[in-house]
Amino acid sequence: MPSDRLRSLPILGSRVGEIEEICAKYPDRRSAMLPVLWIAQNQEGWISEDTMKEVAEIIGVTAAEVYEVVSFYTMFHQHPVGRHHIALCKTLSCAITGAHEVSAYIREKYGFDSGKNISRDGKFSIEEVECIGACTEAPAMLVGETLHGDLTPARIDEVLGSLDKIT
Amino acid sequence: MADQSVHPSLKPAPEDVPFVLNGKEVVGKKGETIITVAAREGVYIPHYCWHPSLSVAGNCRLCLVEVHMPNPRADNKPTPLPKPAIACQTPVVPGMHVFTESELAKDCQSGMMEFLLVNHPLDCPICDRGGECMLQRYSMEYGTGHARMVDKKRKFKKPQADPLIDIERNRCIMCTRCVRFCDEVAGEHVMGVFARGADNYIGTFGQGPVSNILSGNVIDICPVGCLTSRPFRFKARVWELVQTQSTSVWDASGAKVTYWTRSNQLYRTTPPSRKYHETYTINEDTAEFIDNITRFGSDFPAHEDRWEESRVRIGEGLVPAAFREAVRQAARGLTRVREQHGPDALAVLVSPRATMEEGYLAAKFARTVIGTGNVDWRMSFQTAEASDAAALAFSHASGDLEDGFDAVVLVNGDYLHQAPVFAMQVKEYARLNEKPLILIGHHHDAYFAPHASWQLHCRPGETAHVLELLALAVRGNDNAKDQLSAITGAQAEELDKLLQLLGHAHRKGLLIQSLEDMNGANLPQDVPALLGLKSALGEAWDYIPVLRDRNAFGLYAAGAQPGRLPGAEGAVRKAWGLGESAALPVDSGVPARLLAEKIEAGEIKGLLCLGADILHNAPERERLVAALDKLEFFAVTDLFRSEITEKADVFFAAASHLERDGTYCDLEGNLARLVEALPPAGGSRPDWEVLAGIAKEMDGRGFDYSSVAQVFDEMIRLVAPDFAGSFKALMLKGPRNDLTIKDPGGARTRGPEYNPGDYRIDGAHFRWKADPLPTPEKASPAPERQELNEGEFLVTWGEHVQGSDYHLDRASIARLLKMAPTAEMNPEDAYRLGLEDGDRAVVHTGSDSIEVVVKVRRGPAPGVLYIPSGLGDARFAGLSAAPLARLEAVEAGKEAAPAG
Repeated sequence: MPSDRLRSLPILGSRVGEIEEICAKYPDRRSAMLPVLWIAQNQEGWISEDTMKEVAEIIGVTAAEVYEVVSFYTMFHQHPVGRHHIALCKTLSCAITGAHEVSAYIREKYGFDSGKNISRDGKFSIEEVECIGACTEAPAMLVGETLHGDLTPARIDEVLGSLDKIT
Repeated sequence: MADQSVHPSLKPAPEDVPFVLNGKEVVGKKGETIITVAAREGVYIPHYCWHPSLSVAGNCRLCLVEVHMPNPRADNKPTPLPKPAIACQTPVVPGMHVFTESELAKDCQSGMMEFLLVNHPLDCPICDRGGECMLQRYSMEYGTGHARMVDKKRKFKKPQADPLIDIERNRCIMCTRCVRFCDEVAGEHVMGVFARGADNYIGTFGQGPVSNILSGNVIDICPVGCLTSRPFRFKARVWELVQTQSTSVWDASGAKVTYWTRSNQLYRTTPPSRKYHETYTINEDTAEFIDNITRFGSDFPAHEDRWEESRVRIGEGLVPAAFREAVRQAARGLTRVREQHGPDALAVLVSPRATMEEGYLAAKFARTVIGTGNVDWRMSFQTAEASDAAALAFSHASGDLEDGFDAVVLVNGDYLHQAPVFAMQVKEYARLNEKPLILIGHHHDAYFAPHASWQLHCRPGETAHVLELLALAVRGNDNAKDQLSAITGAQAEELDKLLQLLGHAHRKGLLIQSLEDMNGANLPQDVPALLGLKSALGEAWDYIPVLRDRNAFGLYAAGAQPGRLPGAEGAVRKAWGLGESAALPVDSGVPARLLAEKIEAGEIKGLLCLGADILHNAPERERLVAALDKLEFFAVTDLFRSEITEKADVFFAAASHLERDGTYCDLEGNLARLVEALPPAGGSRPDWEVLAGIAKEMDGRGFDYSSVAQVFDEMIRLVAPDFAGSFKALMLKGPRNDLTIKDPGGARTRGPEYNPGDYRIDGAHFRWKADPLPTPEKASPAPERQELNEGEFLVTWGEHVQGSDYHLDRASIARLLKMAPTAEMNPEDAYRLGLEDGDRAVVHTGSDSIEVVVKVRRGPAPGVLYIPSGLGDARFAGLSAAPLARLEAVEAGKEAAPAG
């Protein structure tokens, strides 16, 4: 497939160089699906239907195949997320050390409407996930790709408050 | 491209594997799985996800069996495996013991049933699958009969994805048959398994439709009530319906169907219903798929436009008349024209969907009663030369898919849309058995392209040249090989591999050619060229020409076309009661294609048309319809009131495909019965009665038939000796009831009742015996190539099954069977023009323009645009060469420029 065609794609067109390097590592282009989806999500914050169609075209599969992968992995977001995405662990260790209270605190303090997972100002989004492997410092959460453990209201404010100010 | 040094199809046959199944010694082949061997041995293992035509998924776990393996540490004594094994994925091993009905196996089955039912709603009373649901059956047979599940069941929102297929995800057991069907058989991964774990669900991307001509089959292969037919939704319970085994009247593949009826109404059409616990093989099972046209389009006879009684013209209007009166009027009209203008001023047309018996009677009627050779069914061909080329193709037809093949060559054509089930069988056989597919010509079927080992592209008009070069190259002419490489752009080493493959003399090969391509414009060159290639390749190669017309071969065999009698002339004279000297017009006769011209010139004055669809679907429809006004006498049989039937002097209400008996011949030469599923509506009559009635009224001798079986009897005695090969099966007499089966659900199944113990036609196979055509000494000169500017294309076209019968426009869901006009182009061209799949564009040819949806496929050659002409636009039909077209993209949201 000529690359000038791919370069004209509105969402991923500018990343074609990077993507082609990844595709070159595999005998079959479709194997590059996960890394290409990560590029898309890191750029856009989430993966829209249009993004999936572009990924499908780039690696030569149908959009349904891309959607199968995207919907399988919870770490791919199918809806827009906030500027900072919080993945709060809800599995056993965190649950008994107060993950529910942490969730309630964040939702209350950082402007989440009831039932919504994205704050009113769009700065934060929250998602309750299965074990993130930080049981020793439960309750724990990931903000972006950074781990924060031993959460207390003060610790939460320290982490999220500083982010709140930056933006 | 195939790059293996030894193609898999050349590998030796797998060795035998003896093992023990339920205490009985059986033999499997190396690589076979337990479930396949067990099915062959008549041992039924319950299963959901396994399907003989699909890849193994192994996810329903219902086929768990107990397996004991020979233990080398204990004198090869069979020792139980630690865990039960799934029969669908476990290959057979010498000396293994398999138990499918042991305590452990039964325990596994009932345990798995309980798991599968955990989230399944108990809504059988409102589920359309009720009565033919595998979940219901297995619950009764293998389940425990009660549920221990007390928690809330999982619930999904119901999507509105497809207008024809209803998805009820709560009932899904995640067998993924539908997903694999779309991916593997239908050829596009449009359905998928989304989300994960307990939240798994099936669907399409963006809730889109499952757009494919074979998509309806996911309804049948769904073992539970998740995918059901929307048109049939909540219409009836299946056990209240009467099933009639019949055949498709559109698909020239000869697909068998079951019509489900009650109270003179058709409720649904399915492939032949598979009996519970029936064993099957892969080849039999793929034959159980049918196309959407047959499945969803068969209900048109109930349309309100139907005229249920015969009519005769009185003054300006057509008034209802008794059948006898209509017959008298028709006989009088035909006699008058014959007396005033001679017999050759009369013509008889037969619909390409007429039965063999009707075609035979039409031929007999025209030649003996009227005394003319003007009888024909071939309307779609461009020219008389194309019709002759098709007749040549028919006389060389020899292949049968049942015999399998080691390599297949497909020349130009949109096979999936011209003979859907045939195309599917060819592709599936090649895919499952790893046989090479070779595509040659200016337009390759996009359905085959992803599986092709070689694609030799050329421009329209060059196909014959390419085939001749290939024939010469096979004969070892290096010069021809170089030319071939130059014209198709194929690499020399790829061609070497291809020639090596084709050169294997012991191979059984299949050459397939579509006679529909560009309405046969290139057939006069292409057919002899391909037959020349066949001779070069040797006797192991068979040839199958493909036409979308359902009964093309049957009508050819029955002699319903100029230049052909149903048998040897002497035998025909004897059967028809003609002496040696009596006139029997054979070679004279106007091809149907020239009818409009001949009527305009005043050479044809009277017309008897059996089935108005042949006129409705003519390439030059408008001209033909206008010409009908010039006729002195016009009689027509059809179902509906239409602008054509309104012009008739005598109208006969015809019995529809649901209401009459007859015989069809498919493109492989196999016969199939059309069986009466409903009584003829009102005063409608099958066409053979009309013909016999008129003939008797005109004092024709030998038309005293009391049933269509008598016509078949007379015809087949003439037709049969004309064919070499396996006609034995046809002549076998069988007990009357051997085709009548009782469904376990208790529904009545009707066999072909009209055929009281005469012939069993299953397995009857026609083989024509024409002398092989010589390979040319040298190739004809290459046609000159036209320079194409940016955005310019050569347009080719082909007919689709959808557009082959105007009756389908009156099906209850005709709107959904219609597709928007599309234009298929090569990815190279699409990328150069910045177009992608699904974009809209306008094609300008001369002063004409048409808006299309762009399809980007590996089918058409670069610089070629393929437009299916059966989808509502016939403007290219009637042309004899690929016209030059300019293509202009339409920006999203904007309206197309007005036609200029």
